[in-house]
Amino acid sequence: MANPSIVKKPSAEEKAERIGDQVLALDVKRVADWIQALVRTLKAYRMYLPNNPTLHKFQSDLEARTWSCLKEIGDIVLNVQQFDLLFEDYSVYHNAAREESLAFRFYTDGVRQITFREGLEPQELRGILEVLKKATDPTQGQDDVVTLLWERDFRHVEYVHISIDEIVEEGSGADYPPDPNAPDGGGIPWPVSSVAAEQEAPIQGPEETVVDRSDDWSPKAKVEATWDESSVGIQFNLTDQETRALNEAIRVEEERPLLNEVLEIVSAILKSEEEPTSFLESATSFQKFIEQALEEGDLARANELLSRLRTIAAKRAETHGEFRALTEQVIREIGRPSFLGQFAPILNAHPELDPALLTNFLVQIGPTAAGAVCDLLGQVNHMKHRRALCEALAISCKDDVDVLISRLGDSRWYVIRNVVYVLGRIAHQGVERALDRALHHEDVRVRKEAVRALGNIESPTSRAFLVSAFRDLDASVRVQAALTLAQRRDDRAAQSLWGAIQAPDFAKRDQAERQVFFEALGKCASDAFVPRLSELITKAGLFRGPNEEERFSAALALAWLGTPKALEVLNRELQSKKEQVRRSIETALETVRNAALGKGAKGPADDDAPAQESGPAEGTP
Amino acid sequence: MTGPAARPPAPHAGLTDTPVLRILVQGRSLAMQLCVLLKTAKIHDVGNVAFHGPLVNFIETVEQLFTAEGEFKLQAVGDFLYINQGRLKLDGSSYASYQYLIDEFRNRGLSGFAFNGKVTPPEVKKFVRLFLDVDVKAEDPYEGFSAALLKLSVEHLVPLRTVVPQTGAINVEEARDSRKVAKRTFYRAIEATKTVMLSGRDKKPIDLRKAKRAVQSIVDLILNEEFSLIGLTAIKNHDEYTFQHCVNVSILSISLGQRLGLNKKMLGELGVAAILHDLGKATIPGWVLNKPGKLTAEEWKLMTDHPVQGVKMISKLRGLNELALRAMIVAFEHHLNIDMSGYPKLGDHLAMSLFSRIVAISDCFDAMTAHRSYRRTPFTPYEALHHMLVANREKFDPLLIKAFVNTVGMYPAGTVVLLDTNEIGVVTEHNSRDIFRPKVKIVADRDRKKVDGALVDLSKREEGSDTYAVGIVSALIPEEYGVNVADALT
Ligand SMILES: [Fe+2]
Ligand SMILES: [Fe+2]
Repeated sequence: MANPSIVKKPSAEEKAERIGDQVLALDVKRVADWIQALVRTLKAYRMYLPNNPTLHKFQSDLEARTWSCLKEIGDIVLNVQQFDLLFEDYSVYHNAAREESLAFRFYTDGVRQITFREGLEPQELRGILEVLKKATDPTQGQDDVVTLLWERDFRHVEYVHISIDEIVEEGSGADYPPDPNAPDGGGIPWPVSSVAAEQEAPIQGPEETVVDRSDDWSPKAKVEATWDESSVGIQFNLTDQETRALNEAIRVEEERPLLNEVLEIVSAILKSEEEPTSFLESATSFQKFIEQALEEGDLARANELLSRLRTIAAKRAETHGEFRALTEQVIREIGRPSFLGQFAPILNAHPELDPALLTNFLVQIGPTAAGAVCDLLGQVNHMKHRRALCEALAISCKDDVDVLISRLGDSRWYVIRNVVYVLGRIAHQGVERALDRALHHEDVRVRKEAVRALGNIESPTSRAFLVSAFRDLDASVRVQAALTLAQRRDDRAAQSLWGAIQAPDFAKRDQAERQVFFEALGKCASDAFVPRLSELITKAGLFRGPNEEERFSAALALAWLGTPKALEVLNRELQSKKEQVRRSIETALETVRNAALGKGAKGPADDDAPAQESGPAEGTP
Repeated sequence: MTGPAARPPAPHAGLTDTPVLRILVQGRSLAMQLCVLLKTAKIHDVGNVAFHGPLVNFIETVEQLFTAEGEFKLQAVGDFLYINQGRLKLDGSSYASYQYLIDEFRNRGLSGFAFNGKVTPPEVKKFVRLFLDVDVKAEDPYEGFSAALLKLSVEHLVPLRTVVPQTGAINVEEARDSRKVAKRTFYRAIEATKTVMLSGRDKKPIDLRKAKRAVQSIVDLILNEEFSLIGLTAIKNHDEYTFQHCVNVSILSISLGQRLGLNKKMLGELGVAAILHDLGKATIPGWVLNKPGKLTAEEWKLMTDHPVQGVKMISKLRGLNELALRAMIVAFEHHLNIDMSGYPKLGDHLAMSLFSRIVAISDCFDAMTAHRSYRRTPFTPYEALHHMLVANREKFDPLLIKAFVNTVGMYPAGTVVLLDTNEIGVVTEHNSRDIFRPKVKIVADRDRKKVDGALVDLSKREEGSDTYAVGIVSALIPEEYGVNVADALT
């Protein structure tokens, strides 16, 4: 970014010049490093809270560099080009990304040179950072840099700027040619009065009694051309008390809660609208304030404003039915991807944002925001925020899952997994097919999520899909499917599991998986399965001859089943003469007891639920 | 109001044809061209084709100047460039170039150059090359540069060492210049307002930067107290009145704000809010705005809706920052009165902000003194103030109206007054120490004969005495005495 690139070819004729060049090169490097530190600190400002130690580190590094730079070089004069800052004609900063380039921000506002004078004070440096922060902050409308510098009145920072007209001439500003259809050649006409004002006709309201002060001032009283000032009875010198009162008024003005006052005004205007077009206009103003709240990460205010808008609209809709639809139109507009898309960095920078508020806000905007929210899912780092996003999607897309389903084609596994999770939360038969598609996704995490999601849907189809997952290539998916199906707690589920256990390739699975299948079987089977399991314990041989593992698995299933009949078998076998049998039974009972008490290893089922431990931050699969 | 034809010639009329002005125009070209030459040479070599055009222009200008003036000098004094004794006019487009030259000169210990003959291309090329090669960190860069020029036989461009500026003649220019700067600031502000209002009318995005910059210049001028801008607000231009009104209100508001002690940032915000106070009018058709007769109920509703329209339009600005919020409040409240009468009557709005109270006063004062389609003669500033102080006192903040009188004076700029010498004068500037004793430009002598008279400071006392030399007897209606106020103020 700050690679000093040579703009001018210095003539290297003389030796002295060369030495000069070397000194200059050092200076250029120093300034470039300094600007880099400035940019870093600026970025840190956006990423960290004010009391963050990392931010402090950046700040003190910048300060050290600033003082040493000014000490070594003296006044630093930077010339501004469109994407570059030049020091002694060498570029010390280059960034052609218009949205973030400091040079571009200065350039577009007409600043052509900035000078940092020796003697720059610490609070001035902080002030400069504030200015740059505001100037590059999209929520502040990227405030005019010249205005910000002007307001600050820095003692050791000087700037040269050109007029806006010249900026426009240079083609980087916006200029509006006069409207050819406008009356009077594009100006707001203000006819010369000589003809029009033949008669002295004071402007008045519809009724003679209107005496409101306005620009159309028309006092009734005839004014004496001359008057005796003393008769007015006003002493024009301000007394000390009056001066104090005025100072107090200024203080109040400075601390005025501007936003609240303006919101009151905007609300009052909205309440007073009679025409659909003007109502829409007012509601759109309101929308801007909601969006601003969101941009500033003030979710509470965004929520409050949104419900205020709804409340006003509902009241107005009692007499003006059409206002309801207009309001919904405005609210939907907030959910546009181009706007909500900007929300990810805000969420990432503010881990403290209340997920409940986030969910609530998104739910209020409704299903039109779903696309944008899905996008956000791929960009948001904090787990609780992803969970909130999923929660919102689950609520607002309940009756309109198409947006979600269309997202299953996304290229990012974690987005798909989150969508699958949401579909699982919605869990009606309309999403089964989509989940089946997800069962065949190449990423195992997606497939597992699909299994979990299917577990939430109570239907023969979902059951069939789950059983199909027993044949998944990945053991963890098969295990998830087994446990998920077991949650049905019916004989049909048990039958399916038994089928899997009896399948020829079951023996090829590893031991842990086989045990999980038995555990699952035990969890959902009925006494009808006791004889079969009992037989496995006593005879063993389902898998080619007597087998300790098989015995243990069967005992485990019975222990999980836990019915009197099952326990009867286990108790009986505890008396077995064979020590291995007794030990198997004891271990199985112990395992189940521990599980019931919450001891032992966590089930494999919870490894990486969406919107939980893992997510987009993990990067590619 | 008399037409322009009836006006006596203004003192500056015909100035465009004077040799002095021609030299200033050529001097401007010279400075700009020199700047281009140096900048081009920094990027390309002087042998480069890009250098050729600027080179030819520069040589031509030197030739013209030399033909007209003989030997001449281009010099930097303070923050300005001079061609001989004439100071080059500063404007937006030349500012950066002048500054560049001044800096480049200063870095080399130069005040500028004397041109003692026509120059040739090789000479200029050598000159530029040597100029850029000057070691600015040397103890005396001038010395080396000057020697190098001589060595390469560059004779017609003689470097001049930095000297302490001789004042005298230059200071005379200074006073006239601050007046010009003030006027330029004023007209720029009107242009900026026009841009904003037209964008608003055409429902295009509003770029406030121009208006902000204009306001900043106004604030700077007012804070420097170089020249009173209030006098300029008394000149009402019919065609641009809608825009000028906004600028006038801004100037009056900033002046009042400064009197109150608002800081620079707040003055800036107040000024922009004032410029935007009637933005809502941009949507009102001209025929309603200018209707000479009584308005219908419908039209009146349209008219009184402009505060609300203003709020909506400002809300469309890109960022809803502090400035935008203040501007919205002012747009909404500026037709309310301190007792909360007025319009719009919406919600339970309880009080006016300080900014709105200031703008309401400035707005009323300027509107009353304006020519309107339904009123042949406007109120004089004096009458307007009287109205606000007496008949309508309850409508304004009593402290602010007092401060306002202290800001504009009891006889505000533009008031025609009869003096106790029996002369007639136009108030040009108020006196902040004595509101009854402004500065007055004499426009008619004791015999009521029109004169381009002196500027009299009424706060001056007779020599060796405590009594004032001249005082005001009464304010007059200009039309009754055939006084053209605008002429006296420009
Ligand atoms: Fe108005
Ligand atoms: Fe107005």
